[in-house]
Amino acid sequence: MTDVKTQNAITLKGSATLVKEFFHFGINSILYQRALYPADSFKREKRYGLALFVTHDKKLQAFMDPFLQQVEYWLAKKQLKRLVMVISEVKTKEVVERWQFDIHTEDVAEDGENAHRVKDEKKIRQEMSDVLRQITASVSFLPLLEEPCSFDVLIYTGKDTQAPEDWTESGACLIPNSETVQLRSFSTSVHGVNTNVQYKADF
Amino acid sequence: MCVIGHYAIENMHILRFGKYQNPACFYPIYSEKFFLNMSLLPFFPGFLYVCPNLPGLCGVYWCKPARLTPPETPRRSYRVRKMNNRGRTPGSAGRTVRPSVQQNGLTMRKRDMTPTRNTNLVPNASFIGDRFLGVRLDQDELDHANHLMTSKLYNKENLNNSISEPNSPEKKNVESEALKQMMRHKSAGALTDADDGDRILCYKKNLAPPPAIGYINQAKVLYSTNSVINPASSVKKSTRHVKETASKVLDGPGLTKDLYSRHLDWGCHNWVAVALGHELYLWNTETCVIKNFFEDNAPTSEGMITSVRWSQEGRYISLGYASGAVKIYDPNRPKTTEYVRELRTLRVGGASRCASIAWKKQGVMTCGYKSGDIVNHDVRVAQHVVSSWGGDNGHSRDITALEWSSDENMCVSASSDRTAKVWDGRHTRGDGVVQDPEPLFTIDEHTGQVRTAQFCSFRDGILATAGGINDGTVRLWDVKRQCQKIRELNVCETGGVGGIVFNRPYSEMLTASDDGFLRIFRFNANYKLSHEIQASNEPIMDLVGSPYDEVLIGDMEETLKVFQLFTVDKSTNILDRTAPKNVGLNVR
Repeated sequence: MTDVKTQNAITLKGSATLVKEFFHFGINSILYQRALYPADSFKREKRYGLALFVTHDKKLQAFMDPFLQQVEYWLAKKQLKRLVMVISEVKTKEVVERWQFDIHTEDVAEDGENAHRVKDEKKIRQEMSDVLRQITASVSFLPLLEEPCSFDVLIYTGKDTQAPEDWTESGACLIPNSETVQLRSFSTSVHGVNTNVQYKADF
Repeated sequence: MCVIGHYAIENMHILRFGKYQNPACFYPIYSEKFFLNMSLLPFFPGFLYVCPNLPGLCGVYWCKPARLTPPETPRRSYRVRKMNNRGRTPGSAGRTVRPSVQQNGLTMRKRDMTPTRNTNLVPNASFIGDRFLGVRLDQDELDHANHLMTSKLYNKENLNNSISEPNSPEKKNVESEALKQMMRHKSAGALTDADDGDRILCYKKNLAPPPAIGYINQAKVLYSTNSVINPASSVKKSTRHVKETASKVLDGPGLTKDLYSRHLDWGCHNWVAVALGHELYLWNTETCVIKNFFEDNAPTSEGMITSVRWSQEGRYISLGYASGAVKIYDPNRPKTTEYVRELRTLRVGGASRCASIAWKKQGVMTCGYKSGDIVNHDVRVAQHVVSSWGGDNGHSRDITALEWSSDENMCVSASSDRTAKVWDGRHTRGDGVVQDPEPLFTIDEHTGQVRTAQFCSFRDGILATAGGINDGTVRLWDVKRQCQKIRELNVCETGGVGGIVFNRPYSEMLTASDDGFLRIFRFNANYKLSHEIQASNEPIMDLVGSPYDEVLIGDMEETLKVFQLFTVDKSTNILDRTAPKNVGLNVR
């Protein structure tokens, strides 16, 4: 009985790792699906029962890894409220797409009695794979990125959060007159992540 | 709306949204021949206009004739009138109709129209006077478009996006940004979606690594209508996927830069023979074992190796030398003393530079020399010359390629004298030495040297000849029908074609040319180019096919590349996979 309980118990730290992993695959999927980088710089990886594409470009990996580390740290500290991936045109800096992941953190203590929730990890992964599947499917309705585009990652956090040097204060990079499509959400029972994508209306 | 002239935007209907990348002007769809540029406005009522690239205004517009025609189609107003007639006395009908029509803004009455015209015949047609203007879309759609156009989505700010507008959008943005900055403290919600007091942090702003230079979004190539990328040239429509990158790349230092030598041959046992200067290397493509055949003791007395050819069953290898000698080796033989693998050297008096060798099954080897002579050697007997094809009937300059057809009834020879000849296989051997028989056919249509020739492996009697520099064509001939020309394919604009390989499973022809491209032509009714692969930046000198699905090229950059172009999808059983026959050659 205790075994079952410990197997399905999700701690704050474990949840942060799960959500970070989701962001890793999510952001890579967006980069691949939206063709920000050449398709041959990605390699297939099997995850969540899906074939996902992950970059093997060294520079991009060097860019992503520290940032995901930091995200995991903030997740574990319950300080991350929202993560936004902003896709903007390289030349004009105009924001064309905005992938928004709202994070809702349950009141879980870092350790002690109230330190874990119970949810089957399989179910969590299933929920994550649903979101990733939707990201893949989003190519069908998102407008074509005609100009070369780049991306930035924004995080929304509380006032007192300490940030490393790499992080700078920024605006919200909202898109005027945008369309929003709500994607599915998932929850690790500690972190709930709600995904939507905003894009520039085409006319 | 300055661009639209004196017709306000309310009079323009959006018929269809879309992106039009053509010049910055409106032009009527009705007569595409003449373009109306901006200065020629105003718009003609009743015409369709395409607004190509004004931001926010892209689309096709129909200039609604506000004053001249009724807002509704005549058909509808006719219906209204009919309804109005109902319930009235017949006598009063005439009087009541007219005012109601005028109320609708109708300037024409039924009796003004040409008597023969029946308004019920063509729905959705509008009339100006007695002119007929077809409108292809439903009135409902137009109304919907008009609504879209005039609704709040298209408020004033959005419409002022024209270039000539003094308040350009950028300016506006700057202004509004400044305004936002000023208002920041008062209402944070207006410019950010963050909660009060929250911080937004950006990771390494604008420092995400850029994609590779020259990278084009593949989806854009497929779906964009932008004229910068020509979709037709960048993505060839093809029926199958071809891996465009080399699966193996080998360095070939000392590969002689000679377009007219044959440096490579792929044996039926997947051993590839590569001649590098005086040296010969054998490379097993399955195990990737490489053997130096002469083990740094290569014979140099005969000059460079100018041609390499495995015998058909792969037991022997013959090397043609610049001196004109042809040596036959047996790679299976254990090496005890120097040159012991050499079986024999065949020399012909007065011959020099043997650049092409073709083997027949029964131990007969056909060699072409610089003089233009072709000699058949029976390698099994001491008096090895069994026939020579030359003299007045032969070629006048060096032989560049020799190939036997699969049934060995015919042999084709290509030569620098701009001809190719097809020889009868029966003239190989006779009672004595066969001297200078007449060729079956002489192909003299090439405008340059004929660099290579090949019989089609899957269609009987089809012969392909490829021209060298100043020609760049591949010509197909039907030797079964008096060598009738079937097709002339322009393969390479800037140089010659160095090699042809036929691919049986897909019925295709692969060519390698001096511009470094491999091109695949489909062998159906129109011999269409299906794939183009840039294999090298330098001219490709050699192209050989494997017994199975690969091809090997040797280029002027001294590299050898293997391409897997003919891989048959095992999941589709339409094409049958024939494994290469392995004779178990064991090079010691």
